[in-house]
Amino acid sequence: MSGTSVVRMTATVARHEFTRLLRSSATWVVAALFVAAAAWLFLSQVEHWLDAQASIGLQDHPPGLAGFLGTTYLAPLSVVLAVLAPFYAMRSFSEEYREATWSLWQSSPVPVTAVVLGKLIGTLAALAIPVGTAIAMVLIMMVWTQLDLGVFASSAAGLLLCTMASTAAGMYCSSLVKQPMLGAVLAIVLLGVLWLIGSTTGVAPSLDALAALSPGQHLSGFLQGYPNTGDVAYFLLFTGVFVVLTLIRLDALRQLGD
Amino acid sequence: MTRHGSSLLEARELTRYLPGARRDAASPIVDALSLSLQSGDVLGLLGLNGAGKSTTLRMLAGCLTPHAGSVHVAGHSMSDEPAAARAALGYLADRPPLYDDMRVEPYLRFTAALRNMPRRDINHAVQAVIEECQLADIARRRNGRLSKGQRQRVGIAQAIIHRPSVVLLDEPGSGLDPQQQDELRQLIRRLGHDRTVVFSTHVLSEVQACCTRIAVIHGGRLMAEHDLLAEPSARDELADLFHQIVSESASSAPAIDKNAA
Repeated sequence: MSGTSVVRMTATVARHEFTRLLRSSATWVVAALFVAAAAWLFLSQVEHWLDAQASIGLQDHPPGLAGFLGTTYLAPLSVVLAVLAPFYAMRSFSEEYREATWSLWQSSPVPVTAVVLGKLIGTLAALAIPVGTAIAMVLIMMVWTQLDLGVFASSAAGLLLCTMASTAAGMYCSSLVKQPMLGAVLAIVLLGVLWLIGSTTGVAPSLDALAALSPGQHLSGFLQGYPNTGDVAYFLLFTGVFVVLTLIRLDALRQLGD
Repeated sequence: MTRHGSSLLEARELTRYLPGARRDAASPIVDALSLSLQSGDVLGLLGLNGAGKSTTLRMLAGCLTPHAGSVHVAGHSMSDEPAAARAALGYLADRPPLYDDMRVEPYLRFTAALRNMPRRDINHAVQAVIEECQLADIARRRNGRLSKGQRQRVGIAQAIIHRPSVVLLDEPGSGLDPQQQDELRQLIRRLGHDRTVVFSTHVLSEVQACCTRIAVIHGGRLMAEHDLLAEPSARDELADLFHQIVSESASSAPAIDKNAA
């Protein structure tokens, strides 16, 4: 199969996954809850920013609004997204198994790589709606004040990379089980453990290496406006590992049967 | 009784064990099964429940990897050229793979795109298959609101939308009322005009009505294969033959197991 065909297949799968998610009422309910929570957090942090103007003005290097919202608004959102992404990804494969639609993919000439990448892209596209809304709230502030767009772009990029990594982990867990909710719970537990090990920094030197596996450790640079290539590589590698694990799992299904 | 040469579907010594079973100790669920089919062949894979029909079809469709043996579809090896082999076949599993939240026509468009059909051909293919499977009155209905018979027809439509050389149908007649079964038989006969069709069933009348060939499978083994065009008398004697083979196999099954162990 030619490279063009694979790209076309990937796009077909991504479009299918995206529209399938949009047709589900659960997607919209979860998105609405997330946006409501984001709006509440955003307004409370803007209020906090206004209240703290006097003390912020006394600092030698006072943070701008973009930097302030990066650490007080977008950072907590990234943790919420670690929960939200598995809810979006949970149907990717487990529902295909449960509804017996997986045979359609298995008997079609679509390469399994195109299936996995297409589903990842489609899920990310659906997630872009609530995530984009949450990011757009920060942009609204440009009407009243000046934003450091560099810091803002860095924060948004970090949030998107973190969402992509969480989605890949959610997709892998979805490929393991027939119950979508069980897949989501598995992914949330996995991501929760990974986020928690980030808090072991400084507890013991031997644990510092372990803490480097935590997404939170690599997101902070983005949110403060100075990401490094290591952080970018971490999220790409994290995503790549779970994509490969999903490919291995799907290939094993042909060997093992149901 | 295998034919070689220009076979559209060829299975050689297909063998499959239960997952996790020790291969030196367990009986295979499909045991060294070989088939060779050409264009125009309509093969009925006849057997009782648990005989290994679905497993055989899943291996032929590329959904399951055989532990031994090989499958060739339109000259393409399922293990070496899986994309080409799968592009040449259409498969309907025992449960039609329908997305309940999609409407019939967009679903068929999607399945055509999955088979890598050129975009310009998809409209025509969808209309052709809607006509062929008599889906015009339900084309705008959601899959989730279809009756069992309608779901089977949509399932068959997705399997043939790309005009495959080989069509594999796993118990397509199950759960259908007599009228729907009659329509299905007519459809299978039509499909068999220019394609190879393999369908599994445990209903003798289905086989008698629309097959040119019959393979009886029991305990994962191919017990008999008849070419009804070459042996027309086999059609009338099929009922006796099937019961005879099943009862003979049932009595010899422990011996087969013992040999395998």
